[in-house]
This record gives sequence, C-alpha cells and structure tokens, in this order.
Amino acid sequence: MKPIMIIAVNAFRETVRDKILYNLVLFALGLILFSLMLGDWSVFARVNVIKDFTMAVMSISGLLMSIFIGIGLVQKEIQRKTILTLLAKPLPRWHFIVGKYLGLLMVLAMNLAVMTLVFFLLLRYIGERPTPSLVTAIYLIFMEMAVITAAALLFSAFSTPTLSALFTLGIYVAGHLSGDLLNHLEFIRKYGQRLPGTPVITPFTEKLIHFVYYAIPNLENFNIRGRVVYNLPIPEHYVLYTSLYGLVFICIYLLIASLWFSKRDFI
Amino acid sequence: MIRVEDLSKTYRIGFWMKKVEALRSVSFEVREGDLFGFIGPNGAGKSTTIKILLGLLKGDGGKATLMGKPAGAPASRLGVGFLPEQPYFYDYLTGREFLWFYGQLSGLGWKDLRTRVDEVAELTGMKREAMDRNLRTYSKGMLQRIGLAQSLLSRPKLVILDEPMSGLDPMGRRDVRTLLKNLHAQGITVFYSSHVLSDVEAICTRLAMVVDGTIPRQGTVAEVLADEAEQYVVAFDKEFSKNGPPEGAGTAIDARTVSCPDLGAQKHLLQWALAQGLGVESVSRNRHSLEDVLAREVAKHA
Repeated sequence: MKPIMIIAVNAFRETVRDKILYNLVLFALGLILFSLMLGDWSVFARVNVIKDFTMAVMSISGLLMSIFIGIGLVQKEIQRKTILTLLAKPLPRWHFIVGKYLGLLMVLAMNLAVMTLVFFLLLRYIGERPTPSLVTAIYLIFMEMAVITAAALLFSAFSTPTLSALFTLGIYVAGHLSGDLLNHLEFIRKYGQRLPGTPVITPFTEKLIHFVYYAIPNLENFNIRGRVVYNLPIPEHYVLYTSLYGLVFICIYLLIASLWFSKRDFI
Repeated sequence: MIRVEDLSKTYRIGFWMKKVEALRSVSFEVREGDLFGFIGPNGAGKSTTIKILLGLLKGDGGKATLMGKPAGAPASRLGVGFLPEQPYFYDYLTGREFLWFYGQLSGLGWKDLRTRVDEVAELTGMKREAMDRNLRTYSKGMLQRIGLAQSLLSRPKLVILDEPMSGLDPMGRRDVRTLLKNLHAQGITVFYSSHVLSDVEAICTRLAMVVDGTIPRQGTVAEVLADEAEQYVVAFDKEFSKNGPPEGAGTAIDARTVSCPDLGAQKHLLQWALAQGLGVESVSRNRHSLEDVLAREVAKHA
C-alpha cells in the first residue's frame, strides 16, 4: 500500500500545483454564489433553488475535474516520458494506476469539501441550517465522481486525451440516461400493442438493452438531490447499496485499466 | 547481473502497422563488477534493449534476465538504478522533493532519505541552491545530474544509464566519467549506453556494439579491436625519390611520409631509408579506434 500512497500523494501535489484546478474551483465557487441571485429570480422556493443548483454545480465541476485532470494525469506521464523512470522502479504497474486514481480522488474530495463549506456558509447567510441529508447527497456526488474518474483513467490508459475525454463524457451522459432505457422497455412491453406505430422489441434488442444497462453505471442512482431538497425520505440502506454499486464499477474499471496498462509497451 | 539471449523485438508502426525489426537475436552478458559500455548509432536498438531489461517493453522472442530474474518482473528491478535517455521529470517538483519521491518509491525510509538525498546530490555535483528550485528551471545538464542522483538513491548494485552524457558540457561529461569510474571502483556494476566512444574506450571493462539490431562485436576493448591491424606511420626529414618506398614496405601518404601495414613492413622501410640516406623524423603507431570499427560495422550493415 505504501508505494500506492506515495504515488497518490504525488498526483495530488501535481494537481494542486496546476492552474487548471484553481480555474475550475473559482468557476464553481462563482456559480455557487450565483445561486443566490438565481434563488431570487426563481418562482420556486429560494432555498430549494440554491440547494439544487449548488449541488448540480458540485456535480458538474467534479465531472470537469475528472475529465480535464483525470485524463491528463496518466496521458501527461506517457507523453512526457516521466513514466519511464517511475515504472522502472520495482513496482507492479497497477500501483501506478491505483495511486494516480487515489490522488485524483483526494483532489476531488478537497474540492467538494471547499464547495461544501461555501455552500453551508451560504445557507447560514440566508438563515437556513445545513442538514445531514445534504452531506449524504454530497457524499453520493463524490461516489459518482469516483466512478467517472475510474472510467476516465480506464480510457486514458489506452486512448488519446481527446478520445478519452469524449468517452468519459459519453459514460456520464449515458450513465444518466441508462435507467430510462429500462423504463422505455417496460413501457413498450405494457402499452406497445395498444399504441399503433410503437416499434416491436425483438428478443435480441431486449438483451442488448439489458446489456447496455448493466455495462454502463446507472449514475442516476447517485442522484438523490431532488429527494434531499424536497425533504423526501431516503430508503433504508440506500447509501450503502449505492456505494457498493459504485465500488463494483470502480474496481472493474481499475482492473481493466491495470491489465491493459501492464501489457502496454512504453517506447 | 544482466543476461540477454537471442532477444528480438519488432515494432509495428504507422497506420498499416508496418513491421520494423529493432532487435534481431541479440545476446550478451554483463557480469558483476563490469563497467559495461553499450555502443551503437542512433536507432541501432540500444534503448530498446534497455527498456526490455527494465520491463518497459516486452521482447518478442529470446530471453532477458536482470539480477537473475526474468526481465519485466518487479523483483528483477530491486537493487537496480535507472536513468532514461533524455530524462523528463516532474517539473512541478523541486530537486529535493523529486529525490524524496523516488527515494520513497525505492523503499528508503524518511530517516535514511534525510542524509541520502544530500549524499547523492553531492555525488552528482548538484548545487545546494538548485535543490530547492523547481525542476522546470533546470538546464539540460542539471536535469541529467538530478536524474543520475535519483538512479543512485537506493544504493543500487547495478545502474543502467541510457546516454548519461547526452546534453552535458565537456566539464559535465568529465564529471560523469569520473562518477562512473568511482561507482565501478565501489563494486557497483555499471551498464551504460553512449555515443561518446572515446570515453567507452577509456573506462569500460567490457562493451557490446549494437548495429542494426544485432551485436557484431563484444568483449573487452582489446578483444573488440583484436583483429584490427595496427598501422605505423613513418615521417622522414626530407623527400624521398619519386620511386617511393620499395614494394612491401608500405604506401606513401605524401613525399615524406609512409604508412606501413605492420611491423615487418616498417623494418623493411627503415632499412631502405638508411640505404637512401634519409633521416627519420618520427615513427607513430596508429591503432584503430572503436569509432573506426563501429563505422566499418555500420557500413557493412548499410
């Protein structure tokens, strides 16, 4: 574990010394402050708008960090050949992948902590008390970003930075829509015969839909912002099961990335 | 320490995956205590061999072992220091942070690192002031020095250096040469690739010559140059007659100088000169250098 943590701390140090992090954090903080105005303009309850918008900003800024920093962490090492000296140390290559991943998680956690602090100060400013359920929602945003970061690292282990960014963005978008696939399937099954012009679902298409659903993480599982903002109950053990669900994807992505990375030639 | 047997490697490059043979059945051995030079022109396969040894590339055929273990296994790199060609390092780190990072990865503890970092910095001629500056402010020579320092941190038994003298000024080159000699004197096995053939000739105990993915010659410097005939050049104090030196005594370079292919021819020439009343100004022995031999091997493979 020690070498992994050494690599993680170095990846963290690399990122906090990079200007791109500060640009992203400042951008996010600006947007959080903007939520004050948005709350005033909205027809909905001010505090709900502020909560919903701020957590959405946290999610998006985490996504941007995963893409811009996560992909660069591995690709930069390969392109600048700094990886040669590192991999020549008596370490298995998966240490490098996991170390880089943990380093970026530290950055994401720090970023979320800073934004949470500003968010809670903002709530205090408008006379609201931060609730523990908000922390739960923010924790699940972190878990979602942890999954996305693992995907970004996987793509960057075998693809170019631009393609990796596109693939990661693709996973993010598809991950938020994959739940709808099953909903549509269910809908067509129930009402398809009654509605003329509804496409017929063949067994192959059905299997394909199920495959896509299980292959891509359903990122909507990590989104409990609506429930938290409107004080709806969160099912028992929901956070635990969702965390385990995320962990499974993280492990699979890191495993594939490590396997690919360990077979790769570094010219 | 290093054993390479029939190692081959083919790269596939470009859109059509065109095959390029980088190594063809390469075999050599680096024994404990060697100061081993690995020489050859650019693109001959030196860096490819080094990268296979360190597990950065996988060979297609043959066998390579490092420290008695199959190359590529992490355990084979225990006790091995490495400096890549044209080292690129984390430019956001200071020299000291950089050495701490690699020292920790090499398994050194904090207590040990506190003294060891300064030791290797001094050994490689890093200035104390530069140690606390970001690597992005370093010159190429300083990067080479800090790279060397990182390769020595873990007190390795074997150091593998890919072109350690590239980018260094003459003074820096001399320092590295002295450092390599000192490491060798301390019992550390050194395996390094280089273009500076005069240095290899001067300090290496053994060497291997790589040309076009093959090793045409290897051994001690004397062994590599063994079948290269020596030349004697005799200069006279005045011009000799137009008939020139007699047959079997060499060939005239100009009207006062003759090149003799061997000692017998030189003796024959001197007897003739005595009879002709010519005074000898100088006799020099021209030994073929590694550069001559390498140039000839490269020409053979062209």
